[in-house]
Amino acid sequence: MLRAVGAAVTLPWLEAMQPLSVLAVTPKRPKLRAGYLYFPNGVAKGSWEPDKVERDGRLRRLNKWMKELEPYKKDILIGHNIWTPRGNGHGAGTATWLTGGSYSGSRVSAGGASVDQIIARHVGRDTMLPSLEMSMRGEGYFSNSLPRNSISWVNSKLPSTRDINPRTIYDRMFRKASEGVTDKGVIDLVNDQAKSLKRRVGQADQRKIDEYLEALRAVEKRMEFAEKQTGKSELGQAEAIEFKRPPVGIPEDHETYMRTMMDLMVLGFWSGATRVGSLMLDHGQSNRYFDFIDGVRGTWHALSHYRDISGKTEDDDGINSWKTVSQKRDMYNAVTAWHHRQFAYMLGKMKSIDEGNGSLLDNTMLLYGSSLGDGHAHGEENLPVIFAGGGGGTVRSGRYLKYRRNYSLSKYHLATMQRMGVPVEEFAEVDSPMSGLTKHV
Amino acid sequence: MGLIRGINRSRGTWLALCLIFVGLAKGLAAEVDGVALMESYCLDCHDGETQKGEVNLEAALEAKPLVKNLDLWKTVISRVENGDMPPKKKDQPSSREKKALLEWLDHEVVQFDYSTVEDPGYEPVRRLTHIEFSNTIRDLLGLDMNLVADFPIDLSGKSGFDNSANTLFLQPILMERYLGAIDKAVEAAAPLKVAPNKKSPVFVAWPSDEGEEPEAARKIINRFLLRAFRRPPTKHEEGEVRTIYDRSREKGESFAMGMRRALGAALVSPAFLLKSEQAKDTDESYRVDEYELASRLSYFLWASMPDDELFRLAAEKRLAKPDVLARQVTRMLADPKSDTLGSVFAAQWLGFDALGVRVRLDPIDNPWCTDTLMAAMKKESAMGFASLIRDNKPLTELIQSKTTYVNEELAKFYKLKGVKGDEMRLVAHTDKRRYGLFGQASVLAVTSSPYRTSPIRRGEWILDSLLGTPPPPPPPDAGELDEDIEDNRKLTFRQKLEMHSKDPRCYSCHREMDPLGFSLENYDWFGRWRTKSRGRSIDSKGRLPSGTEFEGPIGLREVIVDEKLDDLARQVTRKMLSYALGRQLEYYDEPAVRKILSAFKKDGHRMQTLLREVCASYPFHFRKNPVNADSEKNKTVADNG
Repeated sequence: MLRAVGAAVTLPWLEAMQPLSVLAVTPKRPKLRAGYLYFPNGVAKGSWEPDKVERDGRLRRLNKWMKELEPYKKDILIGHNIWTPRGNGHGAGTATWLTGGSYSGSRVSAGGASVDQIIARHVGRDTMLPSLEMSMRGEGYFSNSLPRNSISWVNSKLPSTRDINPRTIYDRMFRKASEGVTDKGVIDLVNDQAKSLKRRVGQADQRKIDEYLEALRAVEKRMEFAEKQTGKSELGQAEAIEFKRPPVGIPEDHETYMRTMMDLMVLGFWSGATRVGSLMLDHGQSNRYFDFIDGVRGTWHALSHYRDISGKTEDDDGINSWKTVSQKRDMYNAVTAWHHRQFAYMLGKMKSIDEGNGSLLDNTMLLYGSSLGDGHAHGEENLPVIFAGGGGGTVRSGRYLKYRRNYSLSKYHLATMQRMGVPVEEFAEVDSPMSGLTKHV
Repeated sequence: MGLIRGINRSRGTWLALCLIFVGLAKGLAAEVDGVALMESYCLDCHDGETQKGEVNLEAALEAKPLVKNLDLWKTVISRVENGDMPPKKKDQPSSREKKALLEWLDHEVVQFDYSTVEDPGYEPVRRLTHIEFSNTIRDLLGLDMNLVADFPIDLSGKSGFDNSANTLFLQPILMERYLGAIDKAVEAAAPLKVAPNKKSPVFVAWPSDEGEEPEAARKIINRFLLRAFRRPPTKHEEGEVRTIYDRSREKGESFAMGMRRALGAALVSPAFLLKSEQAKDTDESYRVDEYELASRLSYFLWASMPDDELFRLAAEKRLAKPDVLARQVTRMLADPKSDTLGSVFAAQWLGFDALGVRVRLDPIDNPWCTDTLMAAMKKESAMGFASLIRDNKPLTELIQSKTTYVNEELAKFYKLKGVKGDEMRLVAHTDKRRYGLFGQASVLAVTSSPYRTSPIRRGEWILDSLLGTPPPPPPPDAGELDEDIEDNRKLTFRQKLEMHSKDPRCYSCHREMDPLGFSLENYDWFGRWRTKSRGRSIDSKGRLPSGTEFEGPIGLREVIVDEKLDDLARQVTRKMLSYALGRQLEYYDEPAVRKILSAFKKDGHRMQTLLREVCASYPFHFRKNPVNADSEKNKTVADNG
């Protein structure tokens, strides 16, 4: 059933999503999408403030670390004083970035479902995949730490499993189903067995059986979806977007890998395979080496403790040292800027896809940011966040959202859910959406 | 109301209530004092509303017995003892009050009488870990294939073992991988063109003509379901799987194809993928049945399914008999499948499973650090631990063993001569300093930063992971190394750390942690012996709070064996029981821990005694339905990290 057939891969149901240069204009605005791009370790103080801002908040010039984002300054909102009052730290902060809750390691609880999973529950039944959870493969210490690798939570105790493999992500979205030994009859049988198992086990275990059943149902649904798509026209998808089925394995080059993953999210949104997705650009305490960037030495986490140049912070490696704080901070900023460059690449891709009523970017709400503020101070205040995309005409982009006091990220999550059509009035600790998305703050 | 009804319901409850009343009367005066003192000095900030530092002592005070939140209360005791809490700017208890509070806490927490507790806990339903899945498929189908290479990795949380039910999730992505792996497995197990391997554990019958097919199918399916579900299938289950086969045959597919479909269906079933036990509708604790016991045994000792002998004993209802069980444990430990006690249990307990994930070097500057070397380092520690059990050695051998396992590459790394080839083999150390666990590169590397040793991390690893006596978390306002200390470049790292540790609040933990870690300073961050670090001679002398002075790894070994053996034995017991039960231990497991420990000690800490006692323990044979799924609500310490 899940085995792939044939090597010639096409995206068979994409004709409905043809760029408008090829197909007739769809009068209806395409549906809104929501995306989340997480990066760890915070940023250096001062690197998130634009150089020049108009009186009404419009962005005039970003700063030197953000210069890759300069071409997109009309498509983004830069946050200031955004915080997560209940979650902090490399582990707890990561796990609760999208839940607005607080984390408990002993109970394995993120305090609630995450915003992407709540959206998926409401809008996901109409798409091939309810949501897409992707991560860059971890490197170094903490690569298998649960909280540091989990931003998406189906419920407070159930983190969504994330995929790190471009090929399998692609296949889940675009490959046709084929027949394996497990067919529809088998699915019926195991459904039946799960139900009788449910009677056999105790009350406390019902949830685990439900988890099994839901996983099975998700696979079943995806198969049915794929089934419906096969046989549809394979017309001219090639002009629309250049994207080949990724090769097996993880690309060696970090930039190639990251851009492939970003492409997959763009492709998922554009093709309609899913409307909500998240990508962890690294795990919550990444100690990856970025020495492929000119002039950068040491691990990301070590660099994030930029005010300590002793060479003795937790992830310092003993061979790299810094003469001055500003030298170490520059390296830290260079790592941040490198990520901005990848983010700019993704924004460019999304902007170039015309959906008739604006670009794909115009019809998306993207959150890009971290769960730590200043990386050295480890704070949950003044988080580096950028809200990108036009929200289907519901966001006034291109401004600096300079809140004077701490302003909860949960308000952004609530605003996104409401725009995505989720009937909610409150989320985590807030009961009103972020007003700054349309108004001057 | 509830009380009266409770008394009427059973004599057992009445007895329990009496005991509680006696206990209350004994500690009554102390109780009133303690709670009142907590209210005046702690709950201003740590009540349910403020929960300063996310510590809610109000809720913790209500969670009786207090040992339910043992770790939290231990931290409270150490904070109050050291004068960190209440903070200086808040009202301070008089010295008499402080004494009374500490006495009360000691009475309630440290001296708690566990003999009043009788609760075996509950092993929740969980999916198989990837290792268990892989091993089970191997034993069930007689296949040696790597089916889990592209599975999303098992993440780990607080318990430290990846077989803990609360971190084993089954999400759509994994379900898809399961289906793919199962497809591959049944294809390999039931080839279409040729008769299956004679040794196949699946095809206990094979039809020579069409007439024999129905009977062969019945035999194969019946036996397969018993083994795949690890219990006899119900008639209904058997009928369903049989239908899959029949339908395939009706479509005109071959016998082998029909078998593939039937086996595949059984493997996708939750009865295979999930490890579950039958619930009884009772508030009392109850025995797990014989088949469940067989699975508990096999997943503990083999990380795989039960074999035919276990199934037979379960069918005869003899497995739970103490003498039969003890013999089975001995038999199972002699089987190479028990290697998982080294490669899974010890690897996760001692942390060396993370090697290779944590330490990844560029191959240009460090050509010596290869994947094969790291694999050999891990294997050395895993095989060493497994052999302690197989050869029934005393626990002290973990620390002192004069032999180890190496291959050519690792032998070269240790400067051992005369070892050729990739095979790991037993060798005797020629260098005394390398004896035992502390000489093994695997644990020395995982407790270091890349390129740099971390005496604190090593000290903490010894205290926390190895001995189970973690230092309390640093006081809330403890900084990292002071900047002016750091700036003083003339000092050695050790001198700087010592200055930092002189701060009395830091000192209480560091005086224990640091000497342990510094005694291993002669091993560099990858476990290579050195006498100098950055041009300075290494000082590996230390002095414990007990006054004992020691030096280097040899001294450390003596300290552990002479002064810390009870801690080590207790820790290995707790970890082993936690791994055996697939859950974190709770306060009510303490009576079982103590019972195992006393038998273990009486036998000179021989490892097989530990294993047998764990398998004979109360929680290993019994379970009790939890009051409600969220009964752990009262755990209040947040873990920011």
